[in-house]
Amino acid sequence: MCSSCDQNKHPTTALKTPLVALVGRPNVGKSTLFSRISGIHRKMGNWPATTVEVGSADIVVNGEEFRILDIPGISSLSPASPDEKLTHDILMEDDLDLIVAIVDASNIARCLFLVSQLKELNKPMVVALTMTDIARRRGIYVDIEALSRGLDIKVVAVLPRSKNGTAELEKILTQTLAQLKTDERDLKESTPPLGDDQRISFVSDLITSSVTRTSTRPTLSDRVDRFLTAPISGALTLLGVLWIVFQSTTTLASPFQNWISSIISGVITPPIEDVLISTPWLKGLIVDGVISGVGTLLTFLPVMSIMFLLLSLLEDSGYMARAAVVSDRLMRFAGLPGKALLPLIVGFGCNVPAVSATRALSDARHRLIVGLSVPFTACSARLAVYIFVAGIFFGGNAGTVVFGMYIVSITLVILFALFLRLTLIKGAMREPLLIELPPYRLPTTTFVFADAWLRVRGFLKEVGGIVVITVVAIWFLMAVPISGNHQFANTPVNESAYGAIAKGITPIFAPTGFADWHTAGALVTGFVAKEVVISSWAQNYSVDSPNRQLIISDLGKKLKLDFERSSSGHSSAAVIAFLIFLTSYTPCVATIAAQRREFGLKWALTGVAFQLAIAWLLAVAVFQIGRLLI
Amino acid sequence: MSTPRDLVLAAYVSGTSTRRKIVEVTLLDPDIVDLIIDTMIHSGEMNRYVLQKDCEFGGCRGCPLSEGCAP
Repeated sequence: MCSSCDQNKHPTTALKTPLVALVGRPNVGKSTLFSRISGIHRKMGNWPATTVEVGSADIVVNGEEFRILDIPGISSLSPASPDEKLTHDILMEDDLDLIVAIVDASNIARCLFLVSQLKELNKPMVVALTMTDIARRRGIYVDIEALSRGLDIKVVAVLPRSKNGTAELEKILTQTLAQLKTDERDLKESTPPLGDDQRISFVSDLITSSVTRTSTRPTLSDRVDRFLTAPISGALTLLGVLWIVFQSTTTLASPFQNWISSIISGVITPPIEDVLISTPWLKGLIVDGVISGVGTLLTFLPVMSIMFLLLSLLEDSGYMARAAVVSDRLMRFAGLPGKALLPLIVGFGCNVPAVSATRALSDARHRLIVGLSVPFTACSARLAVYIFVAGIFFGGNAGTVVFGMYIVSITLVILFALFLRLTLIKGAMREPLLIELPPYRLPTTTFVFADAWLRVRGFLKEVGGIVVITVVAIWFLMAVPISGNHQFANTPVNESAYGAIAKGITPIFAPTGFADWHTAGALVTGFVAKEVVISSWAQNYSVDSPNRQLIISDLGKKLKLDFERSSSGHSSAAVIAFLIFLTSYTPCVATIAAQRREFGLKWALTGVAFQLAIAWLLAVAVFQIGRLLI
Repeated sequence: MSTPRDLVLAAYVSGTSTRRKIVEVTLLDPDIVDLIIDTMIHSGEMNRYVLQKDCEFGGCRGCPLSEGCAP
């Protein structure tokens, strides 16, 4: 029936041919209906001055000639994109004679909202109700008569793919167009526009009077969601999932870690040592510094890879959003705004972007409270240290200990935010959060591996960047003599600048059970980045050993001995105190810089003071109580 | 008398954090709840963010929370 298909000419220039536009939200079946009525497959034409495509066809139906337009989908008459702007402009043109509003019966409310706006254009309109088969399968039935009465517009049910209803629609179109020739429309007479609130009420009333839902039984997904997001079962599932992730990570990664460690200490180190034997200072820098420090961190590559893979699996399956609902409830329980969840979730990856992410909160007080609480979230850099220490001291229970540290971290975030809210930054905390629950699905290999790789790459960049720089800086401080008659790069560590700093602060940790200069020094360098704690330990023990060499696998034995000594035999209590100190004290200088940028120097320093005080007090309390019990 | 929008807004502000829960609390048609959420996002009363656990590919450029961050 298509007499001509004009792709390039402005459709409204054909003034004598009545113009009919198919209008609707995206994906409601406009193009299929266009093809069915025009008898042609949808062809695209470039609309002048835009790149948006509009299909048009001149057709004759029942002796009535008209031009039909298939224009881009639109969600409302307030255009939000160039496509929508084009549709809006076409609808505003006086030349448009008839609107065919396409309403998807399976998504009826949104479509009727648009129809109620289209009515206000005061142009003749017919509603084509599509997707009734899909709606019926979902238990949604539309009473066409009632809908037509409610809208005061003719409604025709059509299924363009099977031709159902298209003949009736064509009949109504031609009848309406024929009527237009005899009726004089007063285009100036317009319906007063409704506000959003009134419009929604109108649509709600329409749905109440014309739509019946027979399927109210919850789907399997709904039932699973009920369990996974319920206060008790949801929280217990989340804890269980986290425990499985940490326990699997530590168990599965162990053989790979040992393999990488043996490669570094047995294959890479000896030939380099042989080459550098004549230049002791360079050997100290390369072997005792870079290889020892960075090499130890690289043994965590399998740990981080497995952890990131498991987290990506959870994310792609749709579980993470359910976990967010459970966490959100916890936030509200503590009086935190719902939106606080956004930066805090980022914080478990890295604290620096998490501080910037507080901008999602509109209230300045909320931003400050959440921004100062972010450093207590256990970032992935701390995770490496947790796994390292827990693996040495707790063996098969390492996963449980790491899991415990995450619980400590979450508790600290909530308690600190609550403390700020009740003391320094008083005020109401109402910034609600609505979480979309994506459908469950089987994780896809491509997404899981690509996502995990991005995070592993981030870890490698950190090791290859800031960690190497810090290792070199520590080596330099260890090389600078500050007492005795020593030369640069040939100084006993206790007479070096680094030794003086580390040993100077060691007594502070006496009540915590880990007052040893190796550990104190590592905690100081941990201000740069938390992974550096591990590389610094490796470097400190390497330099401190009599032959100035350390096989990486021996690091654990040395740490055990020193913790045993510094805690007078209560090493388990001292290690837990150390891990809690690590969780609580300032994450890194980059986080301080981010806080300074967001909240000013005063608040950034206030945050650091709180973190150090809380970390020390908690470590002391844990060790002093722990040594009585363990 | 409360409008459907008032009911959804009240549920949202009081901390109802999923669409399903809002449907249960307000007894409104699920499509109407979706419509109201859409219009609130469109009008700027609600903002849409992507939950993420870390910086995404592309660094800050790929982060939906980075609006206004320093370059």
